[in-house]
Amino acid sequence: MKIDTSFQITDRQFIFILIGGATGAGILSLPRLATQEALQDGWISVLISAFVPLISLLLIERLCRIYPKYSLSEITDKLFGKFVGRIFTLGYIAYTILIVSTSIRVFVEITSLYILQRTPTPVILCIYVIFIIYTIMNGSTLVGRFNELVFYLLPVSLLLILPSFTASTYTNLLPIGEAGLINILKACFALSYSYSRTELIFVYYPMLKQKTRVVRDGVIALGIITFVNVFITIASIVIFGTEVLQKIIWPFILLYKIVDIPVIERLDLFFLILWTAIAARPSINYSFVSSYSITQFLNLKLEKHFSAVSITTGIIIFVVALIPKNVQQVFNIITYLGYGYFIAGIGYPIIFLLASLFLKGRTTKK
Amino acid sequence: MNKRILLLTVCIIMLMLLSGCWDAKDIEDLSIPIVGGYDLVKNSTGEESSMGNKVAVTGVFPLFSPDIVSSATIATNIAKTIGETRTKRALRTPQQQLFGVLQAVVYGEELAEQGLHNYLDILYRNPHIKLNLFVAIAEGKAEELLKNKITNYSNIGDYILDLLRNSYKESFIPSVTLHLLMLKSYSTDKNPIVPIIKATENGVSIAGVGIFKADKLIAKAGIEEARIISLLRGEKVEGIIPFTVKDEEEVIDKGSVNIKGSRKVDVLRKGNDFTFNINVKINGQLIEHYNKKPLDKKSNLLKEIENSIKLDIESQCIDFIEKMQNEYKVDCIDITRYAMAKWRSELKDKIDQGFIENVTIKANIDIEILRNGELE
Repeated sequence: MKIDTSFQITDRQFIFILIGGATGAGILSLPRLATQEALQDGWISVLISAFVPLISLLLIERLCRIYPKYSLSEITDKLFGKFVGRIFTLGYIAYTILIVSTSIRVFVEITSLYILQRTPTPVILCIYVIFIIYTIMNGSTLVGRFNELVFYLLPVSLLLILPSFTASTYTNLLPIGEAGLINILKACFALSYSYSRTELIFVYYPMLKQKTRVVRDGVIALGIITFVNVFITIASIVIFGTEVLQKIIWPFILLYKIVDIPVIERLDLFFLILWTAIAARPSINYSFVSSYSITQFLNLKLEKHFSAVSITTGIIIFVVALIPKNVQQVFNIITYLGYGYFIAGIGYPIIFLLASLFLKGRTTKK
Repeated sequence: MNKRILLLTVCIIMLMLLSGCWDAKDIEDLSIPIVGGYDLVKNSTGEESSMGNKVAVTGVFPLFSPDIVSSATIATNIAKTIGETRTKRALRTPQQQLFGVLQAVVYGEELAEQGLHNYLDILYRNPHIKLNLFVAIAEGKAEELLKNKITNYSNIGDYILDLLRNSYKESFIPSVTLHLLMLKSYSTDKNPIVPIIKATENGVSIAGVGIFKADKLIAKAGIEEARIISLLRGEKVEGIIPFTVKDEEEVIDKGSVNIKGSRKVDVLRKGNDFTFNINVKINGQLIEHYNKKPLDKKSNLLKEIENSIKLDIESQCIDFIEKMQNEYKVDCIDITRYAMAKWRSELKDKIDQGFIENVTIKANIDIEILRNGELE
């Protein structure tokens, strides 16, 4: 493995990694979560929620600008020393492993429900984990390329929704703003999981070839993610209405089941085949971050040990993903992971920035 | 090289295992229902609760084997739940059941009157059943309808399927899918209408539409009334209607027009008084008329035809709206949602408390008929 080229990404790939991280399993249940509290104004909550990762992006970029060559593990060691620093890193690793595990488990549940009904869950999970390990052990460049390649499937899958609008009722969206500010903000809180991808920057930043455009690239990625999320939420509200949305686990998939297109008898299966690739991205992006962070946490050499660490991480992910007994338990974990984002994506950079300011002040005094 | 061969072997094994080719079955070995019928079977105590009653499920299973003369098997199984009827069917048939190709479902009248939610659940919950399958209500029992003999058609299932699929094109009866029925029966501001089909001497025919309050069938509308309901609801339907033009009691022309409608609804409010203005725009083409006068601007005959149809439809609309408000007492013309779009939180709990009965509904018909065909 050539460390110089395998662990470098272009700013274009950086955009695709951020988008790939956010358009996975969370998006499938997003419309239901958005309308739970905010009813017909769920799409406003989705729009407002985009400001949380924007703040996170600005904070993390500010921090990474101070330590451009260091990843999270090295930054925490520098700021807090080995012991406290490692607690922060360990928390981050646990968080990313949980994200991958839940993301994979949701994906496996959907595959099992719609496509491979008789295949045991561990078998589907195992095949999926092997695929992830194979992708990440070749470095971040391959992760970036995979994200870029698969990105182009996303517009195709969104275009396939358009025929469903023939069954839409625009009055389902009205009156706008009636749900009230408090309910709209409550829904924003529940949606944090769907946006929680900016914390990936901690690890990918040092690998960027061009570090001057991080904010611009991040804003582009967030813009695309927001557009996709708002589009899917509006489509679900006008097609299902808020009352029916609460009865459906995966509204996004059902959008493809109501369309009757000649020749393609089951559009939902066609979509799920596309989605197999699209939904792999968050798992890959986070698995890479977990493996990279573990390698640094254990002071191992990337060129020697990254492959072995990737395989070990894959095994840990496999075991953790098998723990939830059903989808409901996965959703419960996802809710907590959404709150976890506020720690990893907002709390961490604020604490680290304050610590770096304090450290700078102390160094200047000396 | 060895690594490549290993990778290729793994890929081939995965392709074979994941595609399910290893346990593939011929179509003759599968039992595939294309139409399902559901009826209520009251228990011996005559219990009225839908939970206590049994359900009879009738399936139309086309036969694909070239050696078999009959084109479909029609089988009925009775059990406490729909799921249990599948087990009973499995005990009697050597073939594996496959429900993903189900194309239409027919509910018996009595079952529809008790409410359909419990019987829709198994269909909506199953990820392999498509949501755009057609739904109809049988006049009487679905079982009797599906066991009715049909001539000049492959089987009763295909016949019903084509009947429901094409109803909106020529008979003003909307094609209702499982998705639409679920959506409207669960929404506070909407109520579904579902085509009613009945057994006839020659097969099966459409008899009108069933008017629902949420998931319960509360009334049946005949073909004439169904046409007005469809036009007032703004359904995407079309069909041919006859007309008669009179000049002081003397019939000066008669014929037929092919029409289709669309609508716009405005809702106004003064305190607690709501007024709905339904503007129905009808576009049509004259396909037949008996008067030999040319239909140019000078003769004004086309305007008279338009006026005659307009007055006819307008009076039918007024009659129906009155009947809806006084007899059905349910919004079956889908206008409540326009009021909900303005005052949702305020009206949400009032919809079921006599809302539609106490509003003013005005219907205005705007019609445009074009000449059609090769004759002047």
